[in-house]
Amino acid sequence: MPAVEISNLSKTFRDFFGRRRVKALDGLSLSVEPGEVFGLLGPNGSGKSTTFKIAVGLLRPSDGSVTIQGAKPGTLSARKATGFLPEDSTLLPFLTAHETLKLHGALAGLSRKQASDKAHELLERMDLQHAAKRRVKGFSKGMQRRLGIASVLIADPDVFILDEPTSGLDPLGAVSVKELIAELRGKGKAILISSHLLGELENVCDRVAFLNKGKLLTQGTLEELLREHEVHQLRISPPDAESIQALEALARERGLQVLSSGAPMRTLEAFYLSVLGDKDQS
Amino acid sequence: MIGRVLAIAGAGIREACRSRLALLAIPGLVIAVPVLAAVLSHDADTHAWLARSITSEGLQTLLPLAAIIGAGFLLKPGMKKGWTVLPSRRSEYFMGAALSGCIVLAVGAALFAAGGAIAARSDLTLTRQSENVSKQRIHDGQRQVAPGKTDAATWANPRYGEELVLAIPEGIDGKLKGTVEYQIVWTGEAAPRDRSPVAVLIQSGATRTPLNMNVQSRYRISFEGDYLPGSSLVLQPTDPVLIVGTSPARVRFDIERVAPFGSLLRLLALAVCAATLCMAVVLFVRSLSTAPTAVLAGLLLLATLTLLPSLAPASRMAQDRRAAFEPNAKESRFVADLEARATSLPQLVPESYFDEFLAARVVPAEAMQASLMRLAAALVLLPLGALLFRLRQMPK
Ligand SMILES: Nc1ncnc2c1ncn2[C@@H]1O[C@H](COP(=O)(O)OP(=O)(O)OP(=O)(O)O)[C@@H](O)[C@H]1O
Ligand SMILES: [Mg+2]
Repeated sequence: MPAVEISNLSKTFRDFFGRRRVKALDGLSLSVEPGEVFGLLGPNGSGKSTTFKIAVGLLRPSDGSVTIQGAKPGTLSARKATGFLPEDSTLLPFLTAHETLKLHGALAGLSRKQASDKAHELLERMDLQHAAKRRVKGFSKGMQRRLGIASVLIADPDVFILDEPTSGLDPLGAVSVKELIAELRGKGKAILISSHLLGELENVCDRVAFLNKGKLLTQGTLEELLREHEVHQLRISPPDAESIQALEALARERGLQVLSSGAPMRTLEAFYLSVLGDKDQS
Repeated sequence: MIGRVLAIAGAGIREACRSRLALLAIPGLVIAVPVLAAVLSHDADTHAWLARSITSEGLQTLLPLAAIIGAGFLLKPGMKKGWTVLPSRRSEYFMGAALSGCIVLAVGAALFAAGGAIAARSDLTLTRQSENVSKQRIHDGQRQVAPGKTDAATWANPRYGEELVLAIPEGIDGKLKGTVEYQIVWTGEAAPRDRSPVAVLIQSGATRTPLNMNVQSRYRISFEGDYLPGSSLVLQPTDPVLIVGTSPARVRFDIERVAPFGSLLRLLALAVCAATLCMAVVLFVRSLSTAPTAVLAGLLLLATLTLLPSLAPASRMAQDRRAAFEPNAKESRFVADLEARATSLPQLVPESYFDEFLAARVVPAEAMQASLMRLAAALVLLPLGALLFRLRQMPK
């Protein structure tokens, strides 16, 4: 049984008089298996958040259906199975970080002691232990995001629905979220995740779907979609100039075309991480 | 399910306690009655009256209003506020929010009533009603007695020398003290004369002694005098153009004085249950509507259940009179039905109990029963609201 099954889903927003205004989703079908990370990609307003809201029972579909482990969204078994992180942080501002996690723990059926212990553990993991006793109202956007993720984790659900989990996070935070997602996949959880930052999804997703104006453009594994079968890249170390020339000559001899050759650029993210890593050690 | 409802209610209560208003509200509620009564009164009597009056106004009028307005903003059915995306069922959030609202309301009312108890320095009177009211007249030197009604007014017309005889209950010794509430009907033959249209006498055998009488309001007098065993009380109409009537429940004899705490507790229970009912109605409407709509619905209910039944005593009196004096007159059934329906509507906060308290009398124990009925109505309405709330969509 797939963890999340979306079939032929449509949603039309109507105005006050019942006139159709926006067709946010149009015949979307996809499914996510346990142990799989599924990325939903698309420009602003393409219907990603709408899909998620239907999947957690906040909205009713106009047509089609969603099931979470075979249950209808909004039912108790579906709610218990799902951990939902909305796109804007939606936390109760008057609670402290620790109380927020305890509330989520209590709602998931943990005992007081269990919830409190697990809350401490997660605060540490999300690097928030220094703010455990502070009210959420004063948190920065990224801190709220971290707390939001922690509150999803405390219930230990089987299906994660994360709407732009890394928005507002600093690169270190984004990396730790990616690590977290990889870890969850390892535990056999199903993860449905959205973003419009492509680099974000590239490293974590097993499969992605592209959405535009509510319609599914294409979907498949990263391997199917991204592998360039016409070219080959070879990285060598150390970059010894003579050997490189010899290799290039060999390639031409064999009738191949050398498209690029040179020292590769690091990504800004890798650089950021290396700089901050040095700082932490000093 | 219950665990989750309680967890959400706990968070809701925390929200209320952590609002800046709570810091002011908690001491403010406790000192409201003592401070107002102390500032506005000059002597012990006015102080006692003010303390009772402010307490009962607060519980009877302000509490339901506060419940209606508070309940309008209690539910936060949007994603942004965070409540509806909590990992619980929507109906559990509804019930949790309602529970936290009720608890905050009850605690607030209890703090206010505690202030009332602090300010109350005088005891209340425990009274007993007359067992029956009959009608007598002297005709050809003979006393003729006609039995009266038990649950409606018995009328005496001074033109025929009629008087009302009020039986004195047992358990009274030495002093006779009490109040009579009466209704009057003007015959229209001449202008009324006296300030009070009645005199009170004590009648033992053939001897009749006038009692000391005090006019408390247009329709109420108090009396005081020596009690003679085996005697009865006589209410004598003194103005020839005013017919006077009363019923056993409106004739009260003082038995003893008791501390006011039990009565305050009964009024508190009554007011909190009525306010909970208001809250349940508003939440029920709010489950699928906006906050202003829900508050309006609550206010409408409050107005209906406060104004209509309290208009009714006037028409009950008119009905009584028409039945007594024009038994054959044809009356529109529609109007009579409407009147009857308005009269039989239960009041949201039954005024009579608060009136007793204002008159420095013990609030009867039936007040508890009345409050339980209101609470039961609220408990029926809340789960229905929770079911409706599940149908609501949360786009934002
Ligand atoms: N409550 C609503 N009423 C009317 N239209 C809505 C509502 N919510 C969303 N829409 C419309 O539905 C479409 C899809 O919106 P959605 O929020 O799902 O996009 P998204 O893919 O999450 O975009 P983003 O990347 O900006 O988060 C948009 O055209 C939006 O205007
Ligand atoms: Mg979105």
